[in-house]
Amino acid sequence: MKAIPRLLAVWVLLLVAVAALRLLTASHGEMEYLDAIGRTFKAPPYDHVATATALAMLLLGAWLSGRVFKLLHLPRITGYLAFGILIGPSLISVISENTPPLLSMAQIDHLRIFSSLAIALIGMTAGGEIKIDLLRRGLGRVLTITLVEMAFVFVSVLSLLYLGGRHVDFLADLSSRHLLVVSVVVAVISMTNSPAVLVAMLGETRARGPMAETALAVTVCKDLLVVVLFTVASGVGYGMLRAEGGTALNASLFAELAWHLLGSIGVGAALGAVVSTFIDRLGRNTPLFVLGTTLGIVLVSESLHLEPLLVALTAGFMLSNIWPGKSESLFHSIENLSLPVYCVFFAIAGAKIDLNAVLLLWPVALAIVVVRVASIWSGTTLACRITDVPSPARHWLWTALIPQAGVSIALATSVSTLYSEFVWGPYLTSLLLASIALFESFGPILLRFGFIKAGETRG
Amino acid sequence: MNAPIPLHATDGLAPLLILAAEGSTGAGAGASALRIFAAMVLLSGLAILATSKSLYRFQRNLLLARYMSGGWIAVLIGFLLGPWGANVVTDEMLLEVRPALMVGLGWIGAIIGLQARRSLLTAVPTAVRRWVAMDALAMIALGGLVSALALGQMLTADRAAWWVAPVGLLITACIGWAAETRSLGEQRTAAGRHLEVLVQAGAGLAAILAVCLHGLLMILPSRDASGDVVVSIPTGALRLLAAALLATGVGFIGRYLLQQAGRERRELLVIHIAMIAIISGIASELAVSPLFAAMLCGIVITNLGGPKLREFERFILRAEQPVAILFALLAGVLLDPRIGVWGAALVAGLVALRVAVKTPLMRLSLNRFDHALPGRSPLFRAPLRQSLVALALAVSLVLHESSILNQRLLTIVIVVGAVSELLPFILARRKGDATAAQASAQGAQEAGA
Repeated sequence: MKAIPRLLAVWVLLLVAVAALRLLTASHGEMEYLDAIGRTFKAPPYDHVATATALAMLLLGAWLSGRVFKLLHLPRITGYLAFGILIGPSLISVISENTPPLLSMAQIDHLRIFSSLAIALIGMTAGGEIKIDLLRRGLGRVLTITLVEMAFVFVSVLSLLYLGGRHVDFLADLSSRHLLVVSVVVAVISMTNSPAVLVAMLGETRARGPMAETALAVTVCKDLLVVVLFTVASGVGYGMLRAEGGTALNASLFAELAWHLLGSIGVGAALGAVVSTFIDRLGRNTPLFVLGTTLGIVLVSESLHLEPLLVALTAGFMLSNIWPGKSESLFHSIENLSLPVYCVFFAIAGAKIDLNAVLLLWPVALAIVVVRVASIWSGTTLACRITDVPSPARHWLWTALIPQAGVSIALATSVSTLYSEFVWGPYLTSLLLASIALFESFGPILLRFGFIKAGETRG
Repeated sequence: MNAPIPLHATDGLAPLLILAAEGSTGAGAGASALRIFAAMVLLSGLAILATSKSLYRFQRNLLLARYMSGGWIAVLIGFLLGPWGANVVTDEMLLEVRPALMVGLGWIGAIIGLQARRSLLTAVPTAVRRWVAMDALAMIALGGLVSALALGQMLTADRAAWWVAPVGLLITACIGWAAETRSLGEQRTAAGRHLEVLVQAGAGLAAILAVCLHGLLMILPSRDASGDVVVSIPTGALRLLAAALLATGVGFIGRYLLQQAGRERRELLVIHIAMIAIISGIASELAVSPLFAAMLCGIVITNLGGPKLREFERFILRAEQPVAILFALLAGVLLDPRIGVWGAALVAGLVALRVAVKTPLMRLSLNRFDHALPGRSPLFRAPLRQSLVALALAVSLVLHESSILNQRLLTIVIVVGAVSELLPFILARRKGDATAAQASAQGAQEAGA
């Protein structure tokens, strides 16, 4: 506790230094100059030049915030997120429209490679945590919990919006068909939860036990199912609105879906096999190899339209279960690399939170939050009873399924593009982002509380 | 109903409808995927090769070992992957990773600065200091002359301000020599080992001097509102002051934060990376070379001392080889081979300058200091080889301003470096120094291993 004032002093010094730098250095766009042989070249815009400082600020600022939050008995992740909110473009735009933020949207965009790397690293960690024994023993349990919880959330959120939508400004004048599509999309996105927050919290609290194992397996299952459901729901919904009765589903879409899922698993398995041939020769170069592998996952997934999280997850699963001895040093390196990655990843996630949307739509967002939390709690508790999950994990598993972050934001953002031709499209995205922002803020706190109550923490 | 669905890819989880819309975009996406696959296969192949026993056998009697340990193979691979080769690594990709490359430059700067511990510097004999000073002065005078003569035929800008950066780079790249000595022959006698240490100490000192001089020269020119290059002493002085303050501040704050982090490796990693990133980032925003600013920070840290900062030193030095290889790859990607006749003449001039000046200067400085040094040692050919720091200096100039001229200057530095690697081996054979050649090959094998 005594360290808090000093840590905060360094934290303030960091922010003041970066703010002073922003004031001293002139902001400019991309410039074209001549060199001494008379050839033109382009100098990168200011935002790009300042990205290295932004990266340092995210790392150090988020780490300091995490330390302070830890001393206050709060999750570090919440500290990272809070720091992101503080320096991001949204908060400053709420206070003053003309003041430039410490971290601009352009810089966030330039730093997306770090988010992609983080997702691959999180996928590898999650895959490494899932043991084949657990699947053999409890596949039925995992599937039951996943399906029951998802059904509860889907029905509850769908009912809330479809029945109560008439009281929401931007939904009041919609036809029943439009309202149904909106409700289904929100309900599907509400079913997601954040693998990133869960994996980071497992690392932070060193939680081990039935709750941690089941939560991870259920989250991975949900991730796969939500991809399928969102594709089908969006396709059907879009078709209903465009053709007034048709759908956008066709054979090619299902082929793409199959490629996306099975291709990701196949590439991940192949990658796991390739990595296994190197890992015992790496020695002290293992961290570098881990970085190279995650970069490879990102590049290959992007170019082949695969799901990087799933590719990394499969590779991690293969390595951990088929070559457990050989891969131990690899997972140790991943664990060592995880903290800087989480600092940057969650601070960026915080900086992306749209506070304007929260301020504008908070009553509806709050209603969605309440209904989603209630349905996750009731669905998970019921499923845990059916499948005989041991106590106290059965009472607290639901807390692991609350946090939302990257996956949900990605889906919410794609909604605005998919339904851009409809007036309600951007509002729907704002509503989704507002509710995700709330889950992002209190989800990690609730999850940490759940792990503590379930008696699975070691940190 | 198969209406096109206007979506874009998102990070994390790519919604399938996006894929349905963009998955069949045809040649562009396919070609990009193939290029990346080709790069992956190539890199995997190289990784297998690098870890195979057969490579060590292959290296046993070849100069290739020195080229591999000196990073020149990485330069070649970078060239093959870059715009002049398979075009796998494009300008857009490099722009994307530019912040990370700036941090990498800072890393190299810190490695160089960490050598400047007061106790180490005072242990360096006066003769070595004199040797390095004479080498620097000779290179500034003669290297500057050779560079100016050749650049006079290449540059169209006639104002002196435009000449500061190109001439500055070529001069500072000439200063010093490669610190690696094993490939020149195993030193069996005490006098030989002593000479080896003197060569290495001189290389470290010269690297600090080269980065300092380059940093100071880079601070002076800047672009005005019209895009013209101007030299402003007051602005330069202010930037220098800012860099010094920054380095000192990061050193002190870093020490406090490292104490806070305790023994947790993950926490230490965050602070280590953040320290390098913050100094590199702020330096590049202030138009100060990240290499220079981070070197100043390294000097502060190594002289502040304390167990935590020693750990930071070890962390920075542990990544020396991967960072060096990364920058060698980058140098290969960034080079522009169209240096023309005058560029080739400049290469020849700079190589000739090394042959003419470096070894005599070493003999002159060290023989007066200690007559017991082995007079016919192959180590007297060590200064012929260009320092790897020259590559970092040239890359930092290209990252500062990605102009075609700077890319060609990088090529010139690379070619001078690659040719200068051959010089000790050629001279050893020309003089019939069979023992030295044999020892060179043996040493090269050890260096490669």
